[in-house]
Amino acid sequence: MPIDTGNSTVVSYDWDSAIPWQKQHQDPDPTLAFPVRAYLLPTAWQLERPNPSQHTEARTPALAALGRDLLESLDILPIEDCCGHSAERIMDEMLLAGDQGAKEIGTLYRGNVDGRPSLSAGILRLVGRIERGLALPWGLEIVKDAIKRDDLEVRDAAVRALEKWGGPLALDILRAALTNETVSWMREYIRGVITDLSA
Amino acid sequence: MQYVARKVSKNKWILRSYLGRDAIAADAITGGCIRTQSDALSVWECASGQQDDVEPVVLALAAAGSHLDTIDIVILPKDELEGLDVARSEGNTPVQDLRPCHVDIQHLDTKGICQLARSIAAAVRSENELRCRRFRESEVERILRDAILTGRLNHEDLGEGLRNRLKMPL
Repeated sequence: MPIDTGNSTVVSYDWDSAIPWQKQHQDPDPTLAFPVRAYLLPTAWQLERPNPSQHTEARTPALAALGRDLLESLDILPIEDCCGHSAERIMDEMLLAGDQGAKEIGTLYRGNVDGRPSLSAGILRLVGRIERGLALPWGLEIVKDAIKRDDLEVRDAAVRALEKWGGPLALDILRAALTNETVSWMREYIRGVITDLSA
Repeated sequence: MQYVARKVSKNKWILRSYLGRDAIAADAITGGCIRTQSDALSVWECASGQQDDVEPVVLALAAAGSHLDTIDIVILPKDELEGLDVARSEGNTPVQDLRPCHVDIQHLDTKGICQLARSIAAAVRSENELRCRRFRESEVERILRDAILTGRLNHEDLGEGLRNRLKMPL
């Protein structure tokens, strides 16, 4: 819903209207460097959102509800290699809330990583599928925690995310992980990813 | 047909400290690795567990997907499928010449699922690349690109996500 702030017209943040806004921007622009999910670029979001402090109360329950949907979706069907997952769309919607969405995703990861590590691994697989430019730096913080965990599925998801993002930071984390990794095939995988990213 | 191959999540099949020796974690069964449809499990035939023989399976699976991911393939010898009802059916992949290589293990009951689960667990835990092989994202990408360049796979037949990721030079 457009509102006049006195200086410029912005789109007020209302969760119900955010989804149609998103739907209008679903078609990737092939001229962009990251055509997939380009509608989520933070610059576009920041241009249109009003002062976040005015809307915190309205946004938090919506994010919490999306978080519950995300966990339920992963609970029903785990992430399968190469296949899309309905939870990707839910995570996209959470990220429309900018930093708060990212923070909520981090909370969901941390809240499950000890008791239900498979769920946290699933969250991390979804985070890994987000474009590098959108996932950093908050995604990297999750990965740094995950790669040190005892649960192999969580560590595997962390390496997979770094494999997708690449870059010098990813390489540093992988090199450190290689020295601590105790499972032989995982060591071999990390070594291979380091080689790929160094090329 | 000497072997069949299937995509799995390797880390669901590893031994768990809180389970008994040789036990298979419930998540391995319920987590999608042997999820059936109409009591049938989809697999792809291959001549051996050698990389060259497994790559077509990776091509068939990856080309049908929407994401470029690292992928784990388990390779099961035909003799471990004894007693199971195996039938050819057309595979769901844009790689036309691979469609006839698809096989359904059909009319499965819990006994058959347990037989398959034991076979997959043994393959993953053998740490033998001829039984279970991981293809990193870069390898999957190379396999897809090679297939496009040789005309085996039409770039336009890929899903949108993969098509954008694998934009080919003109």
